Amino acid sequence: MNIYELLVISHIIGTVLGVGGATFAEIFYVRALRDGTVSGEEGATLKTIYTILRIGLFMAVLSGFGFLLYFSLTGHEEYLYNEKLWAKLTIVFFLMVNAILIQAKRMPLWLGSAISLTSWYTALILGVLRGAGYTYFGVLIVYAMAVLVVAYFLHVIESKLKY
Amino acid sequence: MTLHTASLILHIVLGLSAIAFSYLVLMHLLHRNLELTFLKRISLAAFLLYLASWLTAGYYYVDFYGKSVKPLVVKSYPWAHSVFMESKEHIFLFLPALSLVAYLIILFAGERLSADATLKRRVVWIAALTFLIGVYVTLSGVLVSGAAR
Amino acid sequence: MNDNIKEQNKNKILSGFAASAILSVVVVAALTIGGEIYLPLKNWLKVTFYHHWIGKGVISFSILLVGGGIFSFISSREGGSLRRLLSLLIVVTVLGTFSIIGFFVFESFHLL
Repeated sequence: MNIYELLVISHIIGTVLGVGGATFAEIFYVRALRDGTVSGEEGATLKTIYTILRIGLFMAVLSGFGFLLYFSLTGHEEYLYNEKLWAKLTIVFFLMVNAILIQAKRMPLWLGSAISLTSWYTALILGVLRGAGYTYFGVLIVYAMAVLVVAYFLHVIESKLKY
Repeated sequence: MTLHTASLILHIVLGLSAIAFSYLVLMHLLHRNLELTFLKRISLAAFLLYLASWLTAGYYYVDFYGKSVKPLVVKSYPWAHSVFMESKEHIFLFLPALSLVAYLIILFAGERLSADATLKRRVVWIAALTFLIGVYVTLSGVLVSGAAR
Repeated sequence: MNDNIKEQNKNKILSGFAASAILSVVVVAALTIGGEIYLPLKNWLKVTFYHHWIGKGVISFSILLVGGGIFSFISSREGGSLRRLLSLLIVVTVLGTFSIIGFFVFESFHLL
């Protein structure tokens, strides 16, 4: 196994833990709020999921920068100026700031949850998409619209599931 | 692998880890119930990692960057060096100071943080600044590396 | 009373290092911008410390640690003083960051 393959594996594991963690955090949170309160057991489950999510974030970020270093050391520096890459870096930054703002109770939960979920899935999709033609602002505009769409759908799901 | 390459890799890994710990410190400071033992460990880890990243960066920068990398960067994208490398290398020097202050407050006044909202708010801001400056320094590094063609 | 004295001594240490951190940030910003405007300063750092950046690092770290120790002796015992110093550290760091970035942006695009 070479360095590149190791980076790919680490990045995939990190993304799986992050995307999976964000998805199940949302599922369990909506489920927990059906009766209007989050019980001790439900809170403990959510805490575990958030821990896994953060481990995934750390692995994804570290391996992601590992890729950038790999490209830089193997004569592919031009990848570091790729607009899709910078859109992804920006979205990961939004994800991290969003988590801080939610923790500090400065972000309404309906928006924070949508940002979290959309950010993880957008980062996943951007990592898979190949080809040119993606501009930095183009990606961010689509991302912003996706956040609003996801927020709407989360609201609909939560309303339908309430007791 | 040369010593310069190894020092660059170490600088990046140590730096990213330091920023990750700063982020964790910030997140945990925002909890209602503070886990002080954990906070002491991660804030100390952040400070020590910034120091280690500083030393490895110093070796790479002083011994290699100026001679071998800077001419390439200046040729392709001069602003990458003159704005981002220059600002990054100096703003980085704020990080050990900020992370040390955060660690010392958690170590010596951790028990007071839950009761003293003003003090807690100040430490939160110091942790937030450390994280944000760390992100700026990291992204600047990506711009500089990408310009070295 | 013993607990009170312990708390006050802790405040002195914390205030001392907050003050030294403030000074460290200010000195780094001053040496950075000053060294670009007044080249003999940058040359002095290079001659004394082998490289200007090493010089700034050594000076800032020395201020942080040695200054922290010295300021801890002379700092106030009260918590209010610590909070004010931390506020000042935040302000100085933000100003220092934007000053350095702003200076190099202006200098790079020949606006200075």
